[in-house]
Amino acid sequence: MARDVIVVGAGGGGPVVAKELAARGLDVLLLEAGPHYDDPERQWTHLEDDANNPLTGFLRFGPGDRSKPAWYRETPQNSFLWQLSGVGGTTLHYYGNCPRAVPGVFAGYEGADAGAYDAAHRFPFTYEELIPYFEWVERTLPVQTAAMGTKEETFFAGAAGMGLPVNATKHITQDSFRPQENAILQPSGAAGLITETVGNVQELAHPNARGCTFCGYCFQGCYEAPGAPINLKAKRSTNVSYVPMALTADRWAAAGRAVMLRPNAFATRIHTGTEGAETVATAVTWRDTATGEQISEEARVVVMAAGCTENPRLWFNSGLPDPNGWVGRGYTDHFFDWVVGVFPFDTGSSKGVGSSARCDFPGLGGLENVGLPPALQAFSLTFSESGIQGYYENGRGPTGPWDGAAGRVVGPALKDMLSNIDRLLNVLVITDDDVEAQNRVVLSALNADEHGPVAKVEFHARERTARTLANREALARRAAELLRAAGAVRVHRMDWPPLILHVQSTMRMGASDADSVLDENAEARWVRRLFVADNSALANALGGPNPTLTSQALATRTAERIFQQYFGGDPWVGAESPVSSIDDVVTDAVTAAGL
Amino acid sequence: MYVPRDESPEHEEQAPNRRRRRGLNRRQFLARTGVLGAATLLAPAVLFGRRAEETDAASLLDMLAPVLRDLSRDTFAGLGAFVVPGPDTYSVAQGVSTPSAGGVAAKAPEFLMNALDHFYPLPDDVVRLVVEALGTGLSDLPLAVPGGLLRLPLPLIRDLGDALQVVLRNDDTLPLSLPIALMLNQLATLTDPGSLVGPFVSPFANLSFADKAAAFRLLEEDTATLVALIDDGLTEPARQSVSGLLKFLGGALLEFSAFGAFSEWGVFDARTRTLTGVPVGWRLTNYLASTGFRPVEGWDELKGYFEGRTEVTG
Repeated sequence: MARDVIVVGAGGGGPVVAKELAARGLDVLLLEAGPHYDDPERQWTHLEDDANNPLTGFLRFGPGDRSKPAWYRETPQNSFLWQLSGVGGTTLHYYGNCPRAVPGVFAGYEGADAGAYDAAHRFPFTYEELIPYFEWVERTLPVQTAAMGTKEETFFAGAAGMGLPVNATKHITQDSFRPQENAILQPSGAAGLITETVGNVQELAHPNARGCTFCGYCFQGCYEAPGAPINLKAKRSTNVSYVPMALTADRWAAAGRAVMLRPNAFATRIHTGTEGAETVATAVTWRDTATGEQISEEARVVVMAAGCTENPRLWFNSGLPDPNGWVGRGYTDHFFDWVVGVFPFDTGSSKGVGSSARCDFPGLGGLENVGLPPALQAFSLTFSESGIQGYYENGRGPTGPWDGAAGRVVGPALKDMLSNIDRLLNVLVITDDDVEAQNRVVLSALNADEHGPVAKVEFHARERTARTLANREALARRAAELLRAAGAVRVHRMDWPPLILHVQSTMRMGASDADSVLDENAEARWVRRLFVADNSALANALGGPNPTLTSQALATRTAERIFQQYFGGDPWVGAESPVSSIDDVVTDAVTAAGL
Repeated sequence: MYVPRDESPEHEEQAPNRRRRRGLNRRQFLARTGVLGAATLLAPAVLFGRRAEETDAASLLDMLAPVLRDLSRDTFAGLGAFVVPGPDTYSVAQGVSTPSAGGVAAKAPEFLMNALDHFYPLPDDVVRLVVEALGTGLSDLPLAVPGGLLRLPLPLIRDLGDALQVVLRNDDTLPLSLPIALMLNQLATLTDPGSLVGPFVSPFANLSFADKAAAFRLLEEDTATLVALIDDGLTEPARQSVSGLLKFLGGALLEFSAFGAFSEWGVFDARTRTLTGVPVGWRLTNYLASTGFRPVEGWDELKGYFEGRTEVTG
């Protein structure tokens, strides 16, 4: 008997659709290629290699059995693709940053700066239409205004020193700075007020401490405060928010039905049939990564949410149609850059939330502070498209208001720069980058694994559009100016190659069927009953804001469309109030279910 | 890989000069990869005794395995010292050392080898193609093989070449760190042929700090030159993939040496998932110094809310 819906991928987007439809009483199967860490407090550590080693860490892209190799992706250029498998997906290592998209990237935008955006690839509906969905997700996660640590105070001093005004709204309408709106629970009780020392860990345990304890381990996966029920962990990765709600929908939603979650289930094929003159999705086959067993189930609707790299791979490996050639194309990555200041005073860079401060520059993108532990900090300082500073520049080595030419820091210079990690302040340059056909996912001719030919991710960093390149340069300069204004005695620009971590738009929705894969409902143009509900469905790079919130808002909208179109239901956003994932009713449900 | 098959006696008679030239090229290939230097460390009695017993290349392979592992380790130690120098011999040899511990003490070489050999699913074919094609390309460039590396007789060179070919072509047993180390050594001899001689068997480890940077420049900036060198050995789509892989490796080897050197890997007990000591990188960065180098569940770091605002709307 067919399921109502099969969702492929339990990352940032899939669990949103699963939870919303389960709350409506549908029979939902949620597949995830990676493992489900259901007791992170005991299964994880705060150690960087143990967590983040892309080949061996518990937050890697690979099978749950960590004695086995990671899964391969071909990246035929200097770049790094920071993908992740496991329930929660990349929200496991994200910083919970939840800015809304910039209004200028949506249809119907008529602001004076309308020409400053990727006008050829706007969303096929208006910003105003998405606002109720933003609000729904913001209340569900929930999203809250971030508290400050020392590094945020330093960042704000720099932003104010540049003469930027403060933005005290959720909308991005002018050059400005502000605390992040984060999917991280604000600290209360002892959280943020005491440092754990031997013997007082209980003071930082739930319920003495609630919300963010400022431990500094966002990128290693959050399980603070110790002892908190799974749905009350500080950082609102989907493994602690949407997934627990999905698994207990029968307990907290009046007409709800619990989602069936299958981790270690790598989808390898989407099956299709015909319905009248149309091709429709009918079933999914996956491989159990532990046993090797191939399993298929039928469904009335299939939702792809395996990510910007794996969705196109699954599409191609399933032999699905691609008449305009846009499956996998239009990959946007915010073409990050990295500017680091060295300070004569403590910045607390390794402590607190990964990022709680940002600047927005509509039409250009944004800047945000980023704190890191030492190994990732060292990685960030040796990742460059401009060679090794002082030795070679790889044909680039841009100069500007930073010190010397951009490039890797290696040898004694690296040791010197890292001599006190808490005297650094990192600024991430988040470029509003254009959708371009040349940046894309194809199948690798080199390698196939047990799940079929692997993905090859091509980025042409030096050949990006003039607007993208100019945006990035302008933002790098502003980052350096901010750091100087904050008191940095030395400023270094890295000129990163593509760090493929904010990923968007490889299965993009669009107004035109000439350069999009999805229609305005996020349904595949050439395969009905097949939807996409993660970052790959986004029409563009959002103008620079971190993509998760918009992706989750869009996934909520997509869930409504599925319910209306194929199950005869009514929309609920705007008509109802969402249940927060930290509401007592959810805590009770999670506790009763033994999660 | 330019390791020509054994010529038949008839062939030898017909083309003695060609045989001699190709034999020398095989010696050059083995020298450039560091394998020749490593093999000369085997006791001559072992090597020559083996000849007397007329055993096949497989037995040489057994003898070579630990030697090749040492060669890889030597090469990656040269890399670890480059990215994060310390007081170790590799740092001293490159002419840039520091009093505080560096990548070698942090076990960055072992970190990289472990990850490459057991967890990186890069198709071995691709790296093997690079090494082989580089061997072909470099064979036309003159290289004066130092006297110390000439003492192995030609038949033994031929067997060494065969043994290495077996290693490189066996996907089940090829540790990925080996072809990458061989490639770094090839780049080293291209940067400075003098690197064949030095305190280490790895030419890369024998380079000065500046020449190590120059070797990476070759890998990263002069990819077109390198690809041109190896073009003859490749066809599409491998050619494009090799070019991309070289650029990727140029970055990744540096980035992950740094990541490994500053991570806890060198003192992590995977069985108990605890630390057996203080990670080198933590001391270097003063990380967690105030807690006695112990991760904590929280800090007294809350500085309040910007302008006192805990919520924004609309």
